[in-house]
Amino acid sequence: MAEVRSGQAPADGGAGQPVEPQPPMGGYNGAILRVNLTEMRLDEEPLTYRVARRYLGGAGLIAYFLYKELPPGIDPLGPENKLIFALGPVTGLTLPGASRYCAGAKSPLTGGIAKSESGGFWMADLKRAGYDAIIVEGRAEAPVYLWINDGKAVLKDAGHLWGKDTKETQETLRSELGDRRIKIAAIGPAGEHMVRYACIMTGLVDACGRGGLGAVMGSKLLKAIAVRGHRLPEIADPEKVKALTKVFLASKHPLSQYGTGGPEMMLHEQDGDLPVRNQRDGLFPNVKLINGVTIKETVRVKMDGCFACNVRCKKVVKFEEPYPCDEEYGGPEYETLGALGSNCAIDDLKAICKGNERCNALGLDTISTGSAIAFMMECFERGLITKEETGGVEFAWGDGKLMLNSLEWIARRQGIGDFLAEGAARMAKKIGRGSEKFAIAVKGLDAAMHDARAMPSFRIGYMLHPIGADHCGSIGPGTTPMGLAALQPFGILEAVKQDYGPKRMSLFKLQQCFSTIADSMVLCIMPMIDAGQRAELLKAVTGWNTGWVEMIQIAERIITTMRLFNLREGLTAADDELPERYYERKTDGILSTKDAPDKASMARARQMYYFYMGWDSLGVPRPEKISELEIEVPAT
Amino acid sequence: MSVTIRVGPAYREYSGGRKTVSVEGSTVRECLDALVALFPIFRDLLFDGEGAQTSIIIHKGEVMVKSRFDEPVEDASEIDLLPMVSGG
Repeated sequence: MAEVRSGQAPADGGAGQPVEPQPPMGGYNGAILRVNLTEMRLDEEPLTYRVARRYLGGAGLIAYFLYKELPPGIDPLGPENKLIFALGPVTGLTLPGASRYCAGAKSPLTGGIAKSESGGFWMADLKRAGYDAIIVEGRAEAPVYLWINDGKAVLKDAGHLWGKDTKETQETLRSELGDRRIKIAAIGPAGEHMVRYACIMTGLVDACGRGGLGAVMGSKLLKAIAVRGHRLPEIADPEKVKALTKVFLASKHPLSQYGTGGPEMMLHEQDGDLPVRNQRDGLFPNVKLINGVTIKETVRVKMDGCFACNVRCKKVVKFEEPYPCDEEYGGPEYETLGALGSNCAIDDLKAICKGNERCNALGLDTISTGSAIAFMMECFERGLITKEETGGVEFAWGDGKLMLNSLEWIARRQGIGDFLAEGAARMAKKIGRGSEKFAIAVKGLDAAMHDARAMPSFRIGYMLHPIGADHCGSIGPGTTPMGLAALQPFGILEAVKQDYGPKRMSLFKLQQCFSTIADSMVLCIMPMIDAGQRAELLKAVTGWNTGWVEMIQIAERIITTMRLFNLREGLTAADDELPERYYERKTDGILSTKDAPDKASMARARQMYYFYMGWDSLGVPRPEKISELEIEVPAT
Repeated sequence: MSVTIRVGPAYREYSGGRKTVSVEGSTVRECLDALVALFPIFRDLLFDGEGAQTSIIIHKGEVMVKSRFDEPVEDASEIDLLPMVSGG
């Protein structure tokens, strides 16, 4: 296949005009790679100070470019969709948590905006290879992969990779490109078959999991992006960054011991947070068999981490019986322990670990995959779907072997797998007969493994996040004394009660802004880096005279831009609603003894949020808010 | 009974920088009450405004939930106290 490379715009003002001094852009390369797969053309364009200062990077750049460039109403799996990989100013620095990036597109699962962050190592090389973002457009005529090597980008034939799982893909690419250190983001068979919740795997352990971005990549016949880079852009104040890094590295992180899904899983089971049987039931006594403590005692070989991060929260598991589980695929996080475990009533730890391995190999979001299987199990139990309709497969609760088989069927859309591949919300629409009430999704995105009846922050966050039932979009301090110091400039002087009143909704808006900044800098929320330190870090890296007052405004701009995108796609305030099950009691456990907040109180909470965001009662951003935030509204 | 509460790193600013706090009590609950008596802010760290547990409390290798707080403690035993870090 021909290699293509296009040049870049002149560095000066053109025609020999003197270049005006540019504001500082520490941490940025100032370059975006635009990949047009229809024309097999690569172009480099500038990331301007104006866009960087207003949208930062990561989720911000995704919101900006999708809203600006995507025509409304396009098919998410058609060539007009754009798949964006975006770094932030801190990406690739040698400090904890700077090992993340964000990918986004119009979601084939929700029809609205999708964005998902991933850890790993790939993004550090992309930053060193000279780019802040990659925008992929169009569709290739045959499978291709993108190879970026220290600023030189080419498209190459990937016909020999199509059909391979992520490990085979990586090994083949490293061999043919002749460098074992190449980092690769790739799709597996699930993305190739456009499973609506297929993910993009970063290496073999990390994923841009949510929203079906793997399906978008597969629809474009883009199999992988391989990167190798050696030069970081300059930062404004290296000494300050060094001093901050020393502070971040000072303490051992609690996650280093067990990873996520550690001893707190027992608490989650007791307080009703742990999803059991499609988030219907409360109690799961065998939670002891599938949590991080048991993993450490039985199948774990070590803990591992992302680039330059000392948290080392990732479990690595390995065993040979009753089937081999490959340690190169890491081990199950909490979400996977819930989704492939308790939510399907499966207490077989080895089946869950193997499921994690297969999801990473096939390129499946474990949350949506487990939710689809759990939904099917409940439909089967209720007689809403029969063995004749499933092709003879009995979807029984607790069947680990069935779960493992289902992953293979889903990834290749074989038999009943083709139906499961559509996701719980679409399956519910097809089945009907009341099943819509227990498709646990918001805007079509399956809820994470935190029950919204147990934790108000997730209840509100699921309801109001632009991408749907996202569990990471509203995490922040304020409901306990920890971290309150960062909130004092915003008038929050004491811990806020976990209700849905004005103080809590005002805090939620702040928390959503904090998460949005984390997703745009892009800086992981796991390291013990408080809000004040994040602001100091951003200032030291970029050279901007900034702080949380501006950062909150940037976050408002990003969230409002996402909102405008969704409204343009036909999503409305009616989509800011929880599934019916979250208004019911659980069948047992502590949440069977008390009512969940009712619709009226959630409607009031929603109205308060809209008000605090500067939107009207229908959740439409007011013109004066759009103007204040300097959001450029496209002509279409 | 004399019990040592081992304070996780993220909580040490609330225990005056101390890695361990010695308390007297015959049950887990009494030990936690003794800790709160010494450092009242731990009331807001252990439970949120609704009474939900927001910290991980480990005694004899077992995660203590509220229903187990009346279990007895042994002399010279330890209780670990960590913030709840939910996954992910």
